Amino acid sequence: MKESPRQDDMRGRASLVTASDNEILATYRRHHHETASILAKVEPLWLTQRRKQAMESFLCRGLPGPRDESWRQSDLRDLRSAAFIPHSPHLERTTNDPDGSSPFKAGWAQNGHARLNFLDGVFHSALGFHAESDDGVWAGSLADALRLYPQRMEAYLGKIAHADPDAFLALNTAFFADAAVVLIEKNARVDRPLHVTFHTTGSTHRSLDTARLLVVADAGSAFSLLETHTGEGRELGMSLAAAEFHLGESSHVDHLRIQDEAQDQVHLGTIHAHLETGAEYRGTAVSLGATFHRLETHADLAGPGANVSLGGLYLADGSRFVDHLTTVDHGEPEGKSEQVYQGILKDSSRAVFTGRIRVRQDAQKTDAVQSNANLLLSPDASVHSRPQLEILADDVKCTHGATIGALDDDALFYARTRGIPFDIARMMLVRAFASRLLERPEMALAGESLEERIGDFLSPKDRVKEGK
Amino acid sequence: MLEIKNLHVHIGGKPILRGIDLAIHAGEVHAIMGPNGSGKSTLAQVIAGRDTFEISEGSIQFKGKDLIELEPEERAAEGIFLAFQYPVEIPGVGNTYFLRAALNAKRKYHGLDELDAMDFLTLIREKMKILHLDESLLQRPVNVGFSGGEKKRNEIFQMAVLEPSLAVLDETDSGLDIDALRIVSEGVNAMRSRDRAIVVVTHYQRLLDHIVPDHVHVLANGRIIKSGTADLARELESKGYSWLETDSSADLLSPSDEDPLTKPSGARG
Repeated sequence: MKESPRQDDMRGRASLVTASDNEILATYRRHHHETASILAKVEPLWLTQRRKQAMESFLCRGLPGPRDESWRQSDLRDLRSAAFIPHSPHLERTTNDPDGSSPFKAGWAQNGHARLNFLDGVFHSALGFHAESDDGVWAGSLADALRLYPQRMEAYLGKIAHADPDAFLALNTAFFADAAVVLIEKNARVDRPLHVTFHTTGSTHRSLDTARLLVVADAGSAFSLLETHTGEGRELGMSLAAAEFHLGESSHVDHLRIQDEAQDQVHLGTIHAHLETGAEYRGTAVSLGATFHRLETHADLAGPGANVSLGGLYLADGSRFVDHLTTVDHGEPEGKSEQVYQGILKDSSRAVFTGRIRVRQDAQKTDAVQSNANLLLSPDASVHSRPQLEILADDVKCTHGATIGALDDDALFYARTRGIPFDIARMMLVRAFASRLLERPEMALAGESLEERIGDFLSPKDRVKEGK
Repeated sequence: MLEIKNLHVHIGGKPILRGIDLAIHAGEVHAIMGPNGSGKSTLAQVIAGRDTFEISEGSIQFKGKDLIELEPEERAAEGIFLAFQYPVEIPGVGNTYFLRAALNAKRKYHGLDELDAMDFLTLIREKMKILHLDESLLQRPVNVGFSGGEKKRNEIFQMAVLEPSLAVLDETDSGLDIDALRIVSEGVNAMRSRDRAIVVVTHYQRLLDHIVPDHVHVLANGRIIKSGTADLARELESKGYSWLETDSSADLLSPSDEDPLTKPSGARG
């Protein structure tokens, strides 16, 4: 390796970390060597190199610690106590399992959606696909995509999620064993939504599972995607999920992402969306499971008149920790962005929201709004909400607001005096709180299942009836 | 129907009601008048089941049941209705949805089948006409964006749909112009019947020109200091509350610390 300023940084950093951190990093490095040597035999050179760069970047940055601004509210004990162990890559892949096997049937499967199933990060089965020419969309595994569309893969995979990479995105790039790839042709209006499932079995302690997604929507296309993360493991495990979206000129993508992992899972996700002129990305992330959830969403409005609408709905109970970080980067004029994040917290759960809006000098006439509302159903739950606005252009509209509060006692009493029982009244008010998100169009991609889950979340058995 | 005996209520150690005795029979309309801070709204809310107050002494019987033991929703199902002085806005909950949930909860309590959407719509359209409510209000969230008059009409509309046996109207006249006052009063008068009692809580006489009470009680500093007929209300209007000072100690009528319920509730948290 050549000497470079970057490497000096790496050394400077390395001297600060504890021995234990070094051991963890060494473990990841060792596993990367094993994995990379296997993958290098079947993957193109550019991908091997990108993985290698990512691993270097990860080692250079080190594990996040309490001094890292964007992690300082997080409980990092699980992440920093030991390494998580990636699966060795499966090179033989199952394809077209006709019945899709049981893990994928439960939960979030929707009638009428085409489906790609990934098990422990590796392509498992495809269901309900038409012939490729039918609707202008191709979806499949990494291996097939590399074989059929080598140039497009080289142009996009790992290239969209490049700016300001976080450590765990880099780790995902270093290790992802497979990827869901979706390519939408120019001007294709795809009516049928696609559902990509990532399911982990989590059979071993501290296993590391990757989920990787690439969506390239060419100019003028329109497409809807449901992405679900589920798991059944009873052991502590880590899911590293990274999604890249490239939206060509005037394309439109609706995206609903549901994190419904097993309760001991650590879920670290990133979404990077790159928007060209006039493109529109509308995405909502729902967080329901996992003991630790962090999702970073980065949107680059890289062409004039691009439009981003981000939603987030997080439900947390027990001692769960939920962390959302957004960066909406307005680089060109007349962009529009909206961020609506809402959380409902029970018990002693904690949530963090960090919402960044960056309006660069050229991005005149930008219209950016951000809101974060939190409903605390327990006195032990807590929330940190941190808007971060960086505005360099002078002709912009930019607003933000954050609220943290309990259920409105007056409204609850009012409903009860009309004869509506406590549990139903409470449910009604919580649902009303979440209605701004539940009514977002992409929420329809999950059908009734989501409302049912919110109902379960508030089931009377664990209701807290304050003040009685 | 409703029998209140020696009711003492305080909030955070501060006495608000200091020995109320009141008996209300089916078919009667009672007016409870009094200066600000006298405890009128507290009495109304205690009957509906507000739990921010502590009842230290006394009893409330409703149709032979101990009301204090019942949750607010059980009281509602038993036939009690409170029209709020400040109807609460509930963003995100549709007016129709809310009212149907309320009516069906009550029907369920009494072992009746729930009303389906069509039957419910027929019922509420009929009731809306009485209160001259615009149908567009049905689709809006509960009380959100309603004018003051619309909110009060909506309260009486809910009452018309839920058909309570005891309706308590807390300052329903406040914030109403003359036309709205007439419409609301007509709505209430249409509800008068032999098996229903109505309690009108008000500061002013003017509502009682439209809804003529059988009994008038004057509440001051947590006690009923005088009871009489509709004439008593007119006398109060002309002479003012200070007229009653001769009957009682002067401090009884001095507006004490503000009644905690005469302020609008804060914004949703």
